[in-house]
Amino acid sequence: MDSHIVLSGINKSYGNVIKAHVLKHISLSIEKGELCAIIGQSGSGKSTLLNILGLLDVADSGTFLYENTDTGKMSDDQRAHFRNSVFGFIFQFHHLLPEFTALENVLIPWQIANGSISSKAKARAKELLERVGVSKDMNNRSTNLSGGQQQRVAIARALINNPQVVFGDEPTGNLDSDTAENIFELIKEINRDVDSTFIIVTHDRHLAAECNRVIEIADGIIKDDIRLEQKTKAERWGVLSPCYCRLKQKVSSVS
Amino acid sequence: MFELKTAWRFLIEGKFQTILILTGIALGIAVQIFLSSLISGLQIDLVDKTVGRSSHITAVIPDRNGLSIVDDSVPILTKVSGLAQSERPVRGWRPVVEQLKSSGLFTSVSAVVDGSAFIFKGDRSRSVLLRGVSIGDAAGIYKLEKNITKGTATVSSTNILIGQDLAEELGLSIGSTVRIATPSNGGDLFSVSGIFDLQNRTINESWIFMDLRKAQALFNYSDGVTSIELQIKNVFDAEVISTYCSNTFYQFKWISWQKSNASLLAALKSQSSSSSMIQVLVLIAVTMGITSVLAVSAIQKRRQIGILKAVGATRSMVSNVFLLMGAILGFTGAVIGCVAGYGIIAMFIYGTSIQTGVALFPISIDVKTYLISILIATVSGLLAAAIPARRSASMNPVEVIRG
Ligand SMILES: Nc1ncnc2c1ncn2[C@@H]1O[C@H](COP(=O)(O)OP(=O)(O)O)[C@@H](O)[C@H]1O
Ligand SMILES: [Mg+2]
Repeated sequence: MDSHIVLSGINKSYGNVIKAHVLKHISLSIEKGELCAIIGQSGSGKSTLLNILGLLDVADSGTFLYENTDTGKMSDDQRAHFRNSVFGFIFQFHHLLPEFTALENVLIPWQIANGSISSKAKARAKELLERVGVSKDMNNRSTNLSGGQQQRVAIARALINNPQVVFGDEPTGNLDSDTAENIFELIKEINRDVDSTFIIVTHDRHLAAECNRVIEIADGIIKDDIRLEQKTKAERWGVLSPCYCRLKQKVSSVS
Repeated sequence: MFELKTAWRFLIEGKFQTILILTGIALGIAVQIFLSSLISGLQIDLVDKTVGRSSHITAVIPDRNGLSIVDDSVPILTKVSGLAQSERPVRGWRPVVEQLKSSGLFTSVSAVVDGSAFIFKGDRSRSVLLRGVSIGDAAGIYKLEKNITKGTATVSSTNILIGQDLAEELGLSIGSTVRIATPSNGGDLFSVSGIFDLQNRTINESWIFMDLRKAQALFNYSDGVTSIELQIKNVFDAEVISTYCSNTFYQFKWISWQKSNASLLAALKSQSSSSSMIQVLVLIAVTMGITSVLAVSAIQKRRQIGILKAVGATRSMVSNVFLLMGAILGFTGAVIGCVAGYGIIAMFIYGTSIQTGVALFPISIDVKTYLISILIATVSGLLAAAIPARRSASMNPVEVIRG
């Protein structure tokens, strides 16, 4: 089996007095180049799982092997290095630095890795901004951009260091549905062009239906792990539509 | 460098806060610069007035039991020389003086024959201190070119210099003839060639400068002298050089000006320590100001710090951002403060000299003071940033990312 990302027996709890067991013994493996959606109700533990996968957070127990490297043994700085050079992040609230222009924001991960900006890096950043369609406004402060534009800049920033894995935590969650569709289309396109793995948390089943694989989390466990590559659009929707889910729930509660 | 750029942007973005704290730092540093310049100017002036026209280090003949150097109400030379008369003069002094002159340590070296004498003018007489000197050497120590008020700074076997108070008392002027007698000589006639003012009443009414050989003859000292007077460039080196001389030329007893001016030194010291106290207080205020501003900044920039950490900034990068912010605030504030302090000093000099043409107080403007102020303020800025830097560096990015 491909050992790109392998989780086994991951547990995570919050709170000291009243313990909330958020992730319960999660085991999961993700292959290189996958476009993988994580869905589930709010509070089910999607973000917690994504943060652990992205080395932003650490599990209480269980192992997370990345390319056969045990990430549990990493130091703070090693994890920071991974987040910078191996992973890319797209957050729900864009999270650009208001003190910097769009172009400068895209270059932040590069500068963290390399210190200074080479003309090559600048060219690459401009190319990425072109790709996401914000090249006209690249010298604007990030606060002067629309939400959709900011998220596009955030996508460019996530890609600047040629990451092996791109994580998105509801990257379209804060956008109107048309813009959300556009952004998701862009993510899909990029996933086709580069050979990076994309792991995207979303609560939008329409968007999830466009991915190769959908992992559904409920109450801290993996409730469903559906591969969609071979399926037609109708079949995908059949599997993922909320009605279907409700039906399935009903059936399982009856039986 | 990314940390520097980020620190800079953070400061520029919080314009109001940044300007406020910079004004605070600048004011503190300006006051500090002004006060320390004023105090050190006053000190330099005081020291110059005290020792500028006298010997800094004096070599005398050792083992004089009667010698008292504790009484500092009287200038040292008067005391030491006053007692010299009863002593056996030093004869082998010429090679010592040559060596001292060629050492490069001294700006003036003057061999002296001192002794008590009486001066007579008509039916009036006075007890005086006769000081036999090579006039060129003595002129260096007593700045005679500047301090001669009448006549010229020349002596010969028949010409002498007297102080202005003595001249007044005895009604003497340039060309007046006087008789001078010593215990071993009934008296010779001299003509006054110059009248000096060494800005010390005791000296002005009792000192007489005379040709060295003539004085030796009057006291029957053949080629002996009673002391060697020395001046150095930096008066505060006197102790060290005096000790050095004691170890090299042990046939003399070497006395620095500090030994005989203990109370002046104590005054200078307490002035200096009050000046340092002010500087320390200003620095504490500056450091606390920077700390509080950066603590606020650390909270305001929490989101940004979280994002930077999420995309891979290490702990040291984050803490460098804050350290640099502190250093930039300290440095910039101090530079503005130095300019402002200099401005206040220039205004003060201008303001106090408007009527008299000379500044009321002497003010020392020392580049070193400015550079040290800037350096210390920068280091204080760094220290002030330490706590906010640590706190930000250890922040968990997940808290911010969750939104
Ligand atoms: N820092 C925290 N402290 C306490 N509880 C937390 C913390 N972070 C998340 N939780 C809890 O963990 C559960 C899962 O959260 P999360 O992973 O954000 O869910 P999702 O992203 O699926 O909405 C929620 O019940 C949430 O309240
Ligand atoms: Mg979430």
